[in-house]
Parts: sequence; C-alpha cells; structure tokens
Amino acid sequence: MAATVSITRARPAACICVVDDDAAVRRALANLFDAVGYRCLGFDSGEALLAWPDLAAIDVAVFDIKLRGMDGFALQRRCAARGMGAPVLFFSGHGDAGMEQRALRAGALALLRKPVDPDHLLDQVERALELRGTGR
Amino acid sequence: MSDEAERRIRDELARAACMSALGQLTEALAHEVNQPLMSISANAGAALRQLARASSSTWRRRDAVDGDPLHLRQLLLDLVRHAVQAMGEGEGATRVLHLATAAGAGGRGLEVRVDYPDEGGADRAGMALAICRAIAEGHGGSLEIRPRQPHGCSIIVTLPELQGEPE
Repeated sequence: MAATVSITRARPAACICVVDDDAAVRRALANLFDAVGYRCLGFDSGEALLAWPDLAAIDVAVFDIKLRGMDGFALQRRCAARGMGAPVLFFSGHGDAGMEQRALRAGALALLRKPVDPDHLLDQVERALELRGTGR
Repeated sequence: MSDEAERRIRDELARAACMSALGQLTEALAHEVNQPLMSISANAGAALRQLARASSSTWRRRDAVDGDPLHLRQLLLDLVRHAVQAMGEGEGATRVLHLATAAGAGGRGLEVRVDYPDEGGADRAGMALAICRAIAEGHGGSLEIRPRQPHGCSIIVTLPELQGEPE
C-alpha cells in the first residue's frame, strides 16, 4: 500500500462507465470513482450498456473482458460501431501477454489485471480523460 | 499397435486431460479470488481518499487541529494500514474494519476511531503503532488502544482543538 494518498481532482462530471458482471466490483469501482469526483455508470453486461441510449456521454469505458453474453472485446467493437468515442480500459482476472497484445491491437488504452491497484487505475483513467479531451 | 504403445498414448491422453482440467480449475480459482480482492482494493482506495479529503477539509473548514498535515496524514494511513494487515492474518470468514471520524465532539478537535478484528490483540497494535502514538502525542493528542470482545481492537486517536488563531 502506498505511504501517501493523492487526492485526484477530477474534471467536473467526467463520466466513467464500468461493465462487470460482479455487482460487488461495480459497487467498489463506483465508490472509488465517486471518491475522486467522477460520475460512474455501472452495467452488468455488454448488452445492458448497448441498450443505454446515451453512449456519447461516456468519457472513459472500463470493461471486464470476461462477461456473461458478449465479451469485452466484442463489446468494444459494438460500441465503436455505434460511435462511442471514449477510450477503453480492459480488466482481466487472468490476462496473459497474448491477451494484452490483443487488447492493445484492438485500440484499448491498457489491459489491467485484477485485482487492480487503485492508484494505477486512476492514473490510467486520468490518462484516458486527457486523450478524450484532445480527441474532442 | 503394440500394447506398450497403446498404453503410452492412453497415459498421455489422460495426462493432457488432467492438465486441461487443472488449467480450468486454476482459471476458475483465480477468478474467485481476484473478484473479491478487486472489490476490497477499490473500496480501500475509495476509503483512503474520502478519509484524506474529510480530514483535510475538516482542518481547513474548522481550523480544528493544529499540526503538520504530512505527519497527520501519515498517522491516519499507518493506522488504517496496520488494521488492514492485522485483520488480513485472521482466520475468520467475516472481517470488518470500521472507521469513523468526528470533528469538534465534546471539545475535542478530531477523533479517529478504527475497530477491527485482530488475533494478535492489543499488545501487537501497541508496538506497531508506536510512531502513530508519537505523532499524536507530539501534537498534544493521544492514541488509545482498547481490546474488543471476543477479539480485535479499537484504536482511538484524539487530536486537540487548535488553541488561538491559525498561522
């Protein structure tokens, strides 16, 4: 555990979308994002996210690769096809180098291994938000 | 095919099936372990940030505590880190760390209380938290460790209200 805590100052109402079929993980990530001032939207499947009408409002997307129904890779493709411009971070509980390469080739910003270090996750989200800002 | 060759192929097939099952089991186990760890880690990150923000905003808003922000932050982090480590060694299925802060209660500047299960008891906490105690006492406050029943500790840090005008 780090000896110091940095309080990240979020941009106002940056919207982070989390897709994970584990409710406890969604809740914990919502707590973490809420603690630094982000708005967090949680979905238990890719299908649920795709049914949501406002994909354009998402600033950063965080997808578990292993999901019920379509997996994280398929979800990323479907979101891109629907015009979601938000950078994507993938999570995996058992990712290997091959999976990481696949994630990066698919255009994801990073593949993070569960359990993720909260500082590292927030750094990646900050980085994604910077990209999102310049991409607008 | 000779009996020997047939037996060897059968053995290899059995071993491959075994390795495949083992791989699936490892993957399932990693998933089962990583999911709760992921939740714990993200919640701990959230709690530390909320605590750090609550403490610093308390100090700013009320000017309630007079002290070195770095030292006080270190005190809080060491406290939580000790509690998380101590409860991580226990065998119990349910481990709950309860953390509460109160500002200005009963004339005190700031009270931070951490309750957690710990097989090692209050003696170990006393040794582990010597630096925290020194920081609290160096700020005119105190660090109290109370054993809880059936096991575990409550650590109560009290920091006095600021006397006079803030610098």
